[in-house]
Amino acid sequence: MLGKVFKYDFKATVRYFVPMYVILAVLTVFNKLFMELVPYNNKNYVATSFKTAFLVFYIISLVCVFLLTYVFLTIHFYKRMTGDEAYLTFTLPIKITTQINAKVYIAAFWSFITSLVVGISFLILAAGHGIIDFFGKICSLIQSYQYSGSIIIFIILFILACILSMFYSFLMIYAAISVGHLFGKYRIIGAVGAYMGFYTILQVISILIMSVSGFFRYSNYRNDFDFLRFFNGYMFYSLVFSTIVTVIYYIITVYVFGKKLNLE
Amino acid sequence: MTWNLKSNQPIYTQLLETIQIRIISGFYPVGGKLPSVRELAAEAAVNPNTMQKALSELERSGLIHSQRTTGRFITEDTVMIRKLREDIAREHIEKFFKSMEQIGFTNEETEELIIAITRREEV
Amino acid sequence: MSCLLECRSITKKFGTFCALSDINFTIERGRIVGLLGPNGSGKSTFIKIANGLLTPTSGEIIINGSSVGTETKKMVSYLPERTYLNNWMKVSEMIAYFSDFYDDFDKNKAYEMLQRLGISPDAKLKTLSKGTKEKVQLILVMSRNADIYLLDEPIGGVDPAARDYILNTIITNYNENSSVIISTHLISDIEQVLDDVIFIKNGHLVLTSSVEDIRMNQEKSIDAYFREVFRC
Repeated sequence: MLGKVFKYDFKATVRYFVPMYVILAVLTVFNKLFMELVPYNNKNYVATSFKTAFLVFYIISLVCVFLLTYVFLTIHFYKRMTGDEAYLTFTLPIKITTQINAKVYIAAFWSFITSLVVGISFLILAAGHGIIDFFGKICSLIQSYQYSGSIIIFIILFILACILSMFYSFLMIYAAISVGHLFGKYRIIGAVGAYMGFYTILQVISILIMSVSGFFRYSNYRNDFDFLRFFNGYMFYSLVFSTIVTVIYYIITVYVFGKKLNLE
Repeated sequence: MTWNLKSNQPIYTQLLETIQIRIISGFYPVGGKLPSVRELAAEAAVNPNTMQKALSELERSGLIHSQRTTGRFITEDTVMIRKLREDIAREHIEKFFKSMEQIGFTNEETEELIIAITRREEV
Repeated sequence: MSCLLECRSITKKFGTFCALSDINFTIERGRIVGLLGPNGSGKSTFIKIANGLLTPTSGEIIINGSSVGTETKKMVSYLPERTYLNNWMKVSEMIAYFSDFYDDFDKNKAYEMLQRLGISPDAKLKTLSKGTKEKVQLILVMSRNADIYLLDEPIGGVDPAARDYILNTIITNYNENSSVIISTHLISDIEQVLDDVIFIKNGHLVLTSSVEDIRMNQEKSIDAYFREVFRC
């Protein structure tokens, strides 16, 4: 069942994402052309302005692509769970958890694809301009670090954090929409308010924890200090905390749509 | 004879009457097969349960009988059909005479008028 | 248990407004039931609760022995008042969608009905007129072999020919194992098709009766009797 729901979520969202990626691809190609054909010190004012303009468009589009990923997926969830389409969603003989799981997976999926597409686009532009050297320098920097074990752990934690953030950011949005749904007519304002509320509460809690755990204490930072090891510890606990919060968001969403559904 | 159903009387009795008339007029031939309940209900635009009730009543009176797998059939008993036709005709005639009474005709006057009208039609 | 749907003391409040108040009734298999009442009387609210789209304030609805939930949604086919189909899909995709999620969906029947109404399966839903979209929805709902069909104002904004077609579909679709609940305020068009009626006013159950009983005892049509009961 989950596969089927995911399939239809995919069909509904792919019509938005693919055109967006295509536009990004076109902009990438144009930028690449300009980058290669118009040398850096070119006196030709027109060519240089075009090149700069396209670069600006490109950067704006990168930002847009990330923003739009959030926008598309939020609207998709909102329509499917609280709009007219919700009549279809909730009369299907499918468990609420299955429906929500599919929405979580589709969000993670597109987050991943977007990151991949942007990464590839960026690499294309950067290719031939010392990428290999750049990575080479990074590797030797890593090797020269005193505490190599910490580096590996750092990389692992970093990857986990990236994966978690895909789930975390969307479940926070979904939970906010769920809470908003409880406010009947004022569901959109409620959702925005809930989102801001979640954000504020979590910021406060994070700062409290960081202060208490000594993150801000200067005496902790000594010269031969294995900064990474300390930082890894902080990252680890931060991951655990975020995971718990993500699960809480999930529970909120399932509870509201499972037990407190009130479609107009 | 179409299904002219009045809204202020039970439907099932009206269905009963209409089917009876269709049988005695030969619209449904003697010994012939009746359409299914669902077809009849759809034709009359009525609830199938109500149609079923009317048909059951007709079965009880012997006007139709059902073969389990093949459906419902009109009786071959032409005597019964003729009697039914006569009964219904009598009913209509008695109703007619009553309505003529209401406008002030006696039964004799009504009879004379009938004869006059039929003679004029022949000429 | 022969009783297909049991409504036990259903109450639904929206804030201080009471949409349904202590509603109790049962529906047997093989019945076509009319849920009749003025606009805003609670008919749609009841139907949404039976579908799991609203949670009651108190009370429960039991369908075929189970409380409203994932299991009952398999047995219930729902036609809402509004169109809820994905506008960007084609008619054929919508049929595939229903087939995918409902085991009792009869694809052939759906295509047959589409053909009889002259609707192209390749048409995109957003290009269809409102009336045609409603017919597609009706086809999707009636192509299921469900235990209960819940139709919310199925003949409301539809032209008379389409109305006849809808009633005809309901009649020919009938079988002794399923029941149909039709909520409407257009009574005269539909009363011939009904077995029983339930009158609801201001969230209260006013009357349950068979159609024949009313016609026999009151010597009126349901429409006329309704006007009497609900006189303003």
